[in-house]
Amino acid sequence: MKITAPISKPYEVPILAKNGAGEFYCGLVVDEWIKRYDISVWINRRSPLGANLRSFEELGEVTEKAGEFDCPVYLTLNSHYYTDEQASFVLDLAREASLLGVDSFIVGDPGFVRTLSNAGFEGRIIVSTIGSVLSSETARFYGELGARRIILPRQLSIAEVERITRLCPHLEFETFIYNDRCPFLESNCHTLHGLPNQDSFCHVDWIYDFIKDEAEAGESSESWAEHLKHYREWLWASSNCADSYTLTKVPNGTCGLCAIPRFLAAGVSSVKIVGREAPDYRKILCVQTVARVLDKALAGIDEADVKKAAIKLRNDEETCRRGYLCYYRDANPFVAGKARRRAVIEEKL
Amino acid sequence: MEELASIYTTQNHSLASSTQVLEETLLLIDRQRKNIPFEGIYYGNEFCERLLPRAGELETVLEETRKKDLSMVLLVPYLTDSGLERLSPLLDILSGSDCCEVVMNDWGVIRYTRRNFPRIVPVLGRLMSRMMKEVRIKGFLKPGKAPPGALSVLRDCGYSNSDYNELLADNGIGRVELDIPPQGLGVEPAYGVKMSVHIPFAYVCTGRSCMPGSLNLRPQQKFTPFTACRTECMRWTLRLRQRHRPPSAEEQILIQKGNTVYYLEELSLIEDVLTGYEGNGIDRVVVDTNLLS
Repeated sequence: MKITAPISKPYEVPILAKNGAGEFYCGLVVDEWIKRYDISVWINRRSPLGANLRSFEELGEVTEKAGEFDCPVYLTLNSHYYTDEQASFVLDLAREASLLGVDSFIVGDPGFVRTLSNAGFEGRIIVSTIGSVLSSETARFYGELGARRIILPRQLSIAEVERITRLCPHLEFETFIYNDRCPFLESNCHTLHGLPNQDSFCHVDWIYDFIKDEAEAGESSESWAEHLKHYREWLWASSNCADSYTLTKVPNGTCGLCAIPRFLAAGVSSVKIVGREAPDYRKILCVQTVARVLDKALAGIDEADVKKAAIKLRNDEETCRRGYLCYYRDANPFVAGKARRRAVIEEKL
Repeated sequence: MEELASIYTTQNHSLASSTQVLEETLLLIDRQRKNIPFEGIYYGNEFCERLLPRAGELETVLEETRKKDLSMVLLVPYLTDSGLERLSPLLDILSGSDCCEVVMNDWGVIRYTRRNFPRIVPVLGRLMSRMMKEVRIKGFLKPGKAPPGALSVLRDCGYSNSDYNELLADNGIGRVELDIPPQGLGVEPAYGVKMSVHIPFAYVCTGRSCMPGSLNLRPQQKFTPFTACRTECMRWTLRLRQRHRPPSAEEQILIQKGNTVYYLEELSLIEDVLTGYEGNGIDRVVVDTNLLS
């Protein structure tokens, strides 16, 4: 199992590789794209400015440096969709990127998966979370279109991940491990991040008015007030607690460290760190954090002990007990038993 | 209509402006209804696996619609593997009936259905029509303001893409469903795909972690994709307002029901769809009353 790390500057590659990254992903936005479509149309799921490489020269530097560490580079082409004209533009970009040494393409639109396959890139396609693979059937669908690997959405339980990997042994799988959680499914979110002077839609501190009558609904407004406090806390955790750090310099990121042993057992190929736009300092600390836990799991240390090590590393047991930073709460040792019981009840229903 | 509007008028005074917009929308739909034949009902849910109907419920609805000489279309959300197992008996029932149209919002559901229930007619649901619906910048997205290259892309959702169209054809999809984005619709499928449009509410975002559905759970159990809920979505509908902004008629109407946030589509854009529905490739309008009931 490798660590897949985000890149937005060529100089980040050797630092992250030396700290444990085994694969890299990046975005590329060339001037011609912005000239044609403006910055309001994104070629991938990050703003054209800030999170992306800005030229083929930069991309070439990234692949060259990554090659020195024998690390593949993946290019994100994961817009929700491309029109015919855009698809032609992006295909040309993919061809150029391939010549520069890009290994595979991260794609969200099944139409473009087909485009790439038809253009000879079959087997070099990674399905983005935008592809919304929630079942083994969807994984097979993309496999038949020419995908090699599937990035599974953050809104799956460990048990659901295990089921998909078990039923699709012919495909590679990648799961999220650190930083950022979408409160909604990102494949089904149609808002823009990065609007000037505005929070992301999901992180706006909304006032909730009740359209339906409380008495009719049977719950009190007090319980709602308490519930919304929890929701805001969970949202805050979803956005990495304002990109903060613990006193021991561990990034406060949404986290799947406790799930690593089960991912390893399930044959997951790589674990992904989110945050192409993050400062290099944060990227390094994230890679170090994940690498320390992954190394223990790879060394064959018992699952419970790997989890203990992860919690100790995070150095904030109270937050871990709460579970709001977890991607996969059913892997959290403080929550797992109860979560599993509820999941079983739900399954029976 | 009286009943629908009254749901709003009994509420918080800040909803007064939304009542007016909604009433106008419903009046418009009512006027257009004279020209649009009412053909049937959409039954089910597009957004939540937990709301898949049981086989008995589906049979009852099928029977009722048959008695009223209406067609019935089943709505199916995105599904996990266990959701697909629960879908199977429903598709079995529909395969043996005259109502075989199923709206699917997941390529896995489409693959599963095509392989196991070939009589079912797949319709590509609106969750698969992935348009940008950032209502907070709708002013920027008007013709004359947004760059033309950007606007034509944002009014589409990939249905102009020939490879995507081939994918639809390969999967037997002859109908796609859409919301009306704030920037207006500019969708022209390359081959003879029919289009349905949902009015008057469009969805903005949805997910498996349900905020209202976690209301009655202990903190450690809240907001996960897998913990059971008490279908709070059936009892609570919330209006989202931006803090520090007084209620105004111009404020975008945003509503959350269960795991999904919706906005009220712009009246003039609904009118465009309704008045031009025979000429713009749209031959079905789905009026969503579920949010108001």
